[in-house]
Amino acid sequence: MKYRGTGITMIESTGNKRPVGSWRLHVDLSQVELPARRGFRYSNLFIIGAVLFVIWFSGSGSKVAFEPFFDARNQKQVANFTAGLFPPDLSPGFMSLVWQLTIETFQISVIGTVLAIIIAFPLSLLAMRRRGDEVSRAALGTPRWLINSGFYYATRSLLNLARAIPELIWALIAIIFVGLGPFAGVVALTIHSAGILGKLYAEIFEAVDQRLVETVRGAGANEMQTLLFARIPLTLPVLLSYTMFRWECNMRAATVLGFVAAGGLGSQLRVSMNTYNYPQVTTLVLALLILVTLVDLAGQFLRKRMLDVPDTNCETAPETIIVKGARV
Amino acid sequence: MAIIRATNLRKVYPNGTTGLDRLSLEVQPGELVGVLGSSGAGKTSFFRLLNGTLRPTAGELEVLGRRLDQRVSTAEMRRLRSELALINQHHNVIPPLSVLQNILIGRLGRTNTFRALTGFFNVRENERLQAAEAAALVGLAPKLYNRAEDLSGGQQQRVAIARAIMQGAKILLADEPIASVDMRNAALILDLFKRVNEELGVTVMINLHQLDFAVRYCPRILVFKAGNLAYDGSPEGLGNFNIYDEPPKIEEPDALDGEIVGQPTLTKAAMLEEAEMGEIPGNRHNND
Ligand SMILES: Nc1ncnc2c1ncn2[C@@H]1O[C@H](COP(=O)(O)OP(=O)(O)O)[C@@H](O)[C@H]1O
Ligand SMILES: [Mg+2]
Repeated sequence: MKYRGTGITMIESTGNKRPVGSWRLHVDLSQVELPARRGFRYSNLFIIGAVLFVIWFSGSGSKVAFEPFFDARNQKQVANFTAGLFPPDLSPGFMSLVWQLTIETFQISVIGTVLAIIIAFPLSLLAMRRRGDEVSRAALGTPRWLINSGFYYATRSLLNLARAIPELIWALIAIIFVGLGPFAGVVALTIHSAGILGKLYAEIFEAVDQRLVETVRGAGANEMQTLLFARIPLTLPVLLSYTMFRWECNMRAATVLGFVAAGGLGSQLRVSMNTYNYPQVTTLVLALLILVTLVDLAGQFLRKRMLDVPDTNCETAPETIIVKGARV
Repeated sequence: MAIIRATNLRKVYPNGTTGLDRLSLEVQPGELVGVLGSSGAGKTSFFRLLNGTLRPTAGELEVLGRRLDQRVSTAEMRRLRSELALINQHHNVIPPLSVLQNILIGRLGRTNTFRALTGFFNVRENERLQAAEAAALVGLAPKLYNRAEDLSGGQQQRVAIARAIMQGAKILLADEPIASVDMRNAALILDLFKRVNEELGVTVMINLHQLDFAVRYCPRILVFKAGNLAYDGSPEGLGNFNIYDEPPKIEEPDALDGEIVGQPTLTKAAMLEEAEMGEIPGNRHNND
């Protein structure tokens, strides 16, 4: 497409030259082949329409309405409920129970997350697509390539399954195997989180700059060493923040799991709710709030440590170093 | 016996672009070879084929006595790579790692995974000393514990050279090592390559855009054009013609040490074409 000279500061094809912008440079766009602009794609309209439809469809299906908020009976119930929440139950007997349950929730979430990391990490390596000629079908040979692809799809499916089934359902299944109690909660959190973390890790490792991977591979590193010297150091802050976020989610999930008698704050929350003991509910919710906030702070601290490392030992790095006795 | 031998080497990328087209050349051990050629001529493709990152589409490639075809085993590839170092224009260092760790990467080809793991956290004293020596050789000893991302582009180049030294490479390939480095640092880096070549007997191939540097440092020059070889010979043979204006004086073959295999690459028209495509013509010192 030839430029037709609609720009104000451009040179007309008559050769009447004017400066471009504030620069004293001359350009004659009529002499330049410009690439064709990409036209509007009508398929975009279809996509926008589809999104709007899904939103409308979901709103009508879940009976979204505003009237219930203004219904006098509902308002009265809300008032009663809110008034009942205060003051929280701070009696020593209940507080010591809350303390115990908080610790238990904390423990369930920590162990659930740690086990999930231990399972997710090796699975993420199998579920990671590597790039480059050297891992292509031609380079690996069809049998090995097929085995690799088999592992890839098998691992992805496994992770999808672990992720698709919510913690609560996993807990119900775990109870059949290990009985009631905190360990069923740990098992449920481990399986679900391993599914989530495995996929996240795989995708984070995949997204690492391929040229840096090739630099390390090119020095003779094998795949594990490439992971150690390129993929992990390059993604550590992201890995850490996703993992911390998962831990926080697990803390909340551990509470809900208590509802199906898998230990922690949730089991007591259910009892207090069922007995209409709202002051106790308030205390339990506050305990959960404090717990989640503490986890958040710990995560922030770790991330800060990782990101703002002042040049590793920069201040203590010697100006000269002694090499085999000689100053260099 | 040639340390690098390519015979009718072809590389076609998955998108159909031809990187190299029936390239044949030999490099003898201990040579210092300068590679010239406009952008897109296939220089980078050739280097990446040599280090096994790319695999040939057709033809034969032999490096250090090993055939590099599609199906080299991983173990074989690691052994080769522990003797061959590739330095790029960019992306030579892992930014969050220290200079020391970046240099130690050069040992990975000779280290098993378990030792690499423990060594990552607790570097062995003799390896630390070796790395320090390599760093000192390239003038980076004071930066040993700095993060690599805090170094300038030229310093990162030198980290890569230190890594190659640590590697104990027999072949060193440098892809446009001075393209984004100032003149003083460029001379420094090329001096290093020359020392590595002369004192350690390492075979060095440097891909350059600056003709004057190539002539000054490299006893043998290759000119790539459109995935093939356009010139192979001494810098004097190349110096007989102005790479911008005149075709090479093929009517005086005696004056030429080398052999002109095709049309000269760096004609004025080609340079202008490149300039128009947003590339900066490499050499502005041809009138010296
Ligand atoms: N990864 C790639 N995929 C497709 N084409 C490529 C790729 N890398 C290089 N090419 C093409 O191969 C040709 C040679 O490129 P390259 O080897 O980078 O040349 P040089 O290093 O001499 O500038 C060019 O036409 C380039 O566009
Ligand atoms: Mg290149």
